[in-house]
Amino acid sequence: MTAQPVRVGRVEELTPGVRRFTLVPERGALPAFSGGSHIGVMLPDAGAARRNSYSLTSSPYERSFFQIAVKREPASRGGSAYLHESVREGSRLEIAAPVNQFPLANTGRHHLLIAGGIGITPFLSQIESLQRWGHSFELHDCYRGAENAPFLAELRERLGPRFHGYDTSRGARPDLVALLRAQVTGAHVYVCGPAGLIDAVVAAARTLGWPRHHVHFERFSAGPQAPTRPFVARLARSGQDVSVSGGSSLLDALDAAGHAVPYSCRIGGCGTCEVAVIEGEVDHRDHCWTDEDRAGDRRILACISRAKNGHLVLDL
Amino acid sequence: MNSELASAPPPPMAERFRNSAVAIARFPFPFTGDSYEYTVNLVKAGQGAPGAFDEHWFDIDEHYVAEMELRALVLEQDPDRYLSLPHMIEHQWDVLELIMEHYAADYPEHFSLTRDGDLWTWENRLLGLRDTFTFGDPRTLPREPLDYIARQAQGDWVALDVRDGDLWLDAGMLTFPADWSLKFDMGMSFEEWHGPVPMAHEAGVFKRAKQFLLRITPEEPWQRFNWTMTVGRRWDTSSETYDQWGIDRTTITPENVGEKVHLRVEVQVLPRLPRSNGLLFQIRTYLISLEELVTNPAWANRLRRVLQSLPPEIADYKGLSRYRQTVIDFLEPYEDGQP
Ligand code: FES
Repeated sequence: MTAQPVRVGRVEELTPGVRRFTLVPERGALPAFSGGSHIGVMLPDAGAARRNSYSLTSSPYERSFFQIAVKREPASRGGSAYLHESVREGSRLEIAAPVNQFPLANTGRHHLLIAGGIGITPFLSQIESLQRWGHSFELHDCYRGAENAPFLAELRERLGPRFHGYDTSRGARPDLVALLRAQVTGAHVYVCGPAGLIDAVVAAARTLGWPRHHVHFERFSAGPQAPTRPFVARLARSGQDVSVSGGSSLLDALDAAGHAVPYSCRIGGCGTCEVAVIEGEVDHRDHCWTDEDRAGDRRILACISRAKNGHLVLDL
Repeated sequence: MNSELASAPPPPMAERFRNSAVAIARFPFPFTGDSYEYTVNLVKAGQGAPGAFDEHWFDIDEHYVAEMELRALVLEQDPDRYLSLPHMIEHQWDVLELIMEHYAADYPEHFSLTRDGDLWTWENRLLGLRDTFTFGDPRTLPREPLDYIARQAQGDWVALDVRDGDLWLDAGMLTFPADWSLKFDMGMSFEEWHGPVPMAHEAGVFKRAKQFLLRITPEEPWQRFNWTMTVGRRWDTSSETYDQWGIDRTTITPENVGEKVHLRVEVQVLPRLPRSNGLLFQIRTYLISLEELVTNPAWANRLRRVLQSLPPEIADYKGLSRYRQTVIDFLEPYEDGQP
């Protein structure tokens, strides 16, 4: 994937812990994108170029700049800490073109958007599209104290009665089952935020018998994971053995061994990093494949999934 | 303009589609091996050498004006060659923007696009058009956006909606299909509209192809070939007009085969639509008569071997069983010295 150089035009401290970065192209226009898209930002992380994904919060109809809002994560993999500490106005960065793994369904009769915390970010560009094309929608935003909700005032004003806020620090919470039950047939629900919120929405939708394809979610992290044990991946074509330690992913281990596999989300959400498996049982940890996709253990998503019994043979 | 010339009857359509030496040299000959295999055969689009059919995402050639005039005639007779479901309006604008942007950048001598915010001016010098409109507002164009732009763009254009983990054929302009029909396939999912292709479902080809297509990103369109044969320099071989062209297949003789039988190659370009997140399926069709094709003996040799190895089901599906042997016999003498 080709990287595009951009300059950091502005850095704003929206709340303590959340910064907004405005990125302008070095020349020409930025690519068009659809609501819910993210970009990859290259991070000069310990010498090796790594990429973190951030939702675009600017309008999809704006091609002279992009904006991302980055929350400083206490347990940062390095990305948010780097952006907060080392990136200033005038800094130069490389970004990967927008990709959408959280698209709006064009046929939806109504769009129910549910955000938790910094999970509000992908909805900002979606709202631009929904408003521009005159779609029916509503936003339910859960945040911990108004001082931690960077877009609260703006959204309240822009959306009027379509906006519903829940300050969780005061114990407010949406009644998800009631909310989903009240929707018209043909509605789609979109949720982005902490794993607990996503799981609760998915469970409520399942309880009420919503069609699987009407429920959309985007995770920010892979969420709590079962313990990771080391394993060895044998590359069938060269016979090379690649060891994957407990603390690293198959994707990273392959990369270090000189077998770069394309990736995008790095959290098992997009399916880009698929590798064919010749032998061994896969411990599937992604959230993009169905059980049917996984049947037979013939493929693995290298960024997140692992070996069940200590070894795999890959078609590489 | 010379008034005598202007009043002279235009040459018959088929004459206007004859290939010059340049068109023959840049013909997208699709076979890289000597036998036929049904594969997904995807490569990155727009990576060709200067002047090649795949130099740009969207190729135009010497038949541009003739093809657009023929398209207008087909649409006049059958307006349903353009169809779009209501939820596809954003996709339509996406396609319009993509074509205008690429044509203006790749062929600046023929097209230009000026933007002042949402107020756009499009100039098409080959067809003598100049229109100013508001991007996103369909009332400012004489037709729906896809209808408007596809009448000015070579090839057939299908916009797919991406939803429910599938691809849906929900809008398009299809005046030159190889024996299929937009009206029939509208609203179908990927595997549904590929229903008739023999041997491929069993091989799981479509399932894999679909997964691949779903992952195409806006910055990297892909391209694939498809081919068949057509009798006569006939562009419109849709299912709707089968009664007009199906019978031609019985008219091939050793005397007329070189002139009448054409290799029909589709270069399909598949870019992700950046604003609607849909997928565009562009089908650029090229026709070359066997007489034109054998000016390149390596092509003649290879086409003969492919036809010889073609499984009967595939030959039937492509409608060439009746005259396959006549074509093989015609190609036989053209030896390129290769084993
Ligand atoms: S990179 Fe997205 S699933 Fe692995």
